[in-house]
Amino acid sequence: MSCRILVTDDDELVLIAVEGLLVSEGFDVMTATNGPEALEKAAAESFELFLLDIIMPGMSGFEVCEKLRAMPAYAQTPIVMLTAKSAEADRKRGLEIGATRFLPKPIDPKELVRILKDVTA
Amino acid sequence: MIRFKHLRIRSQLAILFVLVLLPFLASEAITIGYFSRSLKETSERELTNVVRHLLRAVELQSQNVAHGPLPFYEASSSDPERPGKDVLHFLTEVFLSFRVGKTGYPYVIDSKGTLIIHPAKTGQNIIDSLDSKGFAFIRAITARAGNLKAGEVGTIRYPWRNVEEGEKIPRMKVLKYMYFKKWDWIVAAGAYEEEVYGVLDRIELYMTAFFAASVLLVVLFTLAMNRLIARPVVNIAQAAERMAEGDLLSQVSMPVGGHEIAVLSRSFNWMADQVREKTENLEAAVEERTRALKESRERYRNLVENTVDGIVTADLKGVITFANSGMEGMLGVGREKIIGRPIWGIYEGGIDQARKIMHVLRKEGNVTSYEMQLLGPDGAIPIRTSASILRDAEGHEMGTLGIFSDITKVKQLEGDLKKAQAHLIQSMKLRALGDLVAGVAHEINNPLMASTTMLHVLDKELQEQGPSLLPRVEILRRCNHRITKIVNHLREFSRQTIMEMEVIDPNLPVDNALLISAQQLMNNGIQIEKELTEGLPAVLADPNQLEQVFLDLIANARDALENVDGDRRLKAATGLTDLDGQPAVGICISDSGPGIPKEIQDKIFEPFYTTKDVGKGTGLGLSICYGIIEEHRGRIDVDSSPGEGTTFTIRLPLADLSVNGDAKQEDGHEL
Repeated sequence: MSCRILVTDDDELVLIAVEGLLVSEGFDVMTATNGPEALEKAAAESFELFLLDIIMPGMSGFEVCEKLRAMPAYAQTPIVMLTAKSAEADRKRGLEIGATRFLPKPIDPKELVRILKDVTA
Repeated sequence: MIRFKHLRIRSQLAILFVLVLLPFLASEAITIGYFSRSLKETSERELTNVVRHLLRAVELQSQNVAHGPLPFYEASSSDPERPGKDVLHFLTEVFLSFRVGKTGYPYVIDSKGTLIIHPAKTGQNIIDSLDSKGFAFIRAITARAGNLKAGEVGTIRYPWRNVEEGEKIPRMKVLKYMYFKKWDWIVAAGAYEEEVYGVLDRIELYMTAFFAASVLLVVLFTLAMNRLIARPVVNIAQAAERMAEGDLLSQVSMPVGGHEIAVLSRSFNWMADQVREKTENLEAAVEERTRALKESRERYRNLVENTVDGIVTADLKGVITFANSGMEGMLGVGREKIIGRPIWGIYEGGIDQARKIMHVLRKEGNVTSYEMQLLGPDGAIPIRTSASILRDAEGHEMGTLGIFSDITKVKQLEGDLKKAQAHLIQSMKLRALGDLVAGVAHEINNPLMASTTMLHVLDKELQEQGPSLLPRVEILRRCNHRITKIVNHLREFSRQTIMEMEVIDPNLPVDNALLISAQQLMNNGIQIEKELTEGLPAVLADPNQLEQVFLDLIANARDALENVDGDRRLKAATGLTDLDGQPAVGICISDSGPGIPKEIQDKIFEPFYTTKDVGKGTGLGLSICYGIIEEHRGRIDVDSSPGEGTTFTIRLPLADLSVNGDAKQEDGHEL
């Protein structure tokens, strides 16, 4: 059974690479390049996991995370956040608004896969 | 020879008295005496005449006797040489009819002292009669009478007290007598002098009185002269002498009146007052001026002596003529060892230095803020010099004046300031660079992540579809790995991580770092020396960050020891020290490596500066350490010299435990 995941990142290259990685690992991957699009897709479809970049133009990953948590369907769904800043403030804020894990960018692909599998187990 | 005009006025007066007044008095006395004697002789002539007349009468009677007896002469006498009774009777009558003065009378006595004719005592022998002084004057008369020549009158004076009259005081009597040899008769007539002289005595008294008055007047005149002229003049002279000797209070006792001496005295006193007043004014003025001068001198002396600057003067030959206490302090010797030396003897640059200064002095007229060095007791002292040419009142050059300010402290402060500025610039540079690096790191992050992820996928696929290409993918993967490492380093450098400050034992991060590196160090044959002081005060720090710093320093030490043959040592020590005057904890990481050349010691904390081979170091390690320690408000210093090894010293301020017994959290949590 494949895990359905929505990967949101404003960087198309990252999106393509992560999609390729996750697909090769057996995930059912959908992508969004910005916050509104991610929320739209989340509302239209159903996902078991979210991978969110924090720094995005327009709507930040934090906002997306908050809005997802506000949706009853995703109140418990794991949300993993990626940030270029491994800053403690980001981590704290992210955890407060319901993020499941906080990962620094760049991250070793094997590590990413391990963590994602871990949170959905 | 002393001239009269040179004599003192009293001596002159005395000489005048002797030379002029005494002869006058003497001549007056002589005149009076002569006059008096003449008058007396004249008066006595009456007595003499009585005696002469009576003797003449006696003579005539004796001749009558020769020519025939007179009616009253008794010719019965057998001795023809004796008058007869009648003659005697006649002569007696004649004698007794005479009176001399009031009480004087004539009488006749023979040479045996028997009275022949006498008013009362005829026939008595009075040869032994004594005067009131006990002198037998009758005997004297009888003795002398025989010697008288014919016609000569004898005179005798004797004091006589008439007992019958009841007189108590004897009076002088004068007696004139002649001798009639034929009958051995002494014809005498006597009277009291006062009666003989009558008014003459009074005249003599008056004249004596007049003479005495004259003497008195002369004496008084002389005294008056003395008093009126000599004494005031002498007084003035003495006062003038006293004044000349310095007694300005000297005054002449003030004679009243308008005469010249009084005027002179007053003038003198007035003049003395003026002199005194002027002198006192002058003295006061001199005193005031002296005091002002003293004060001024003292002020200048204080100014010169109390300044910390060294002040010297030198003459035209360059020999030091004056040095103040500031100079003594600077050179560390007493001024007696400075004065007399050539000025260049105290210059570090010697005579060349002195020539340079003189050159500037001649060219510019003065020297200001000229920096040079003096020879102090402990070596050269940096000083700032001002110098000028000293001139006398006529403008001739006398020498030079130099003022030296010790600028050792200034130099030191300048050094400190430079260091602080360097630190500040370093910090600012780091911050700006940090921002830039953070941006760069962020921008690289995404493509790097994409690349790494994609390589991972590619690697997996190639393992099945084309394993021959795997080594090439591996090269790409290593490239990515290095890029990742660089980016991570850049991110650390940009300090965009949050510090987690805790109150910790400063030994803790050192211990941890040593623990982590121990195996690796031992593998490299490095001996670890640990000298951690127990019980150090706590510091407020992020233990992970400090650990990172020590790991970095240990890694550097390890790299430095890599090519060292033999003794490879790394030492970690902690202890108490101070930081900007405050107590602090010090942590030293030392190695026995080749050391860091002085010229690059300043650069090692700069970002991207590295001495390591390409790929081995990013040049950010020490820069990051610097940044971390900076954020801990501490300081990191390096002490190294080639061949002696290197010591990095980190100083961290003590945790301020005064607020609620806990340390204040320094950094915010927001970004």
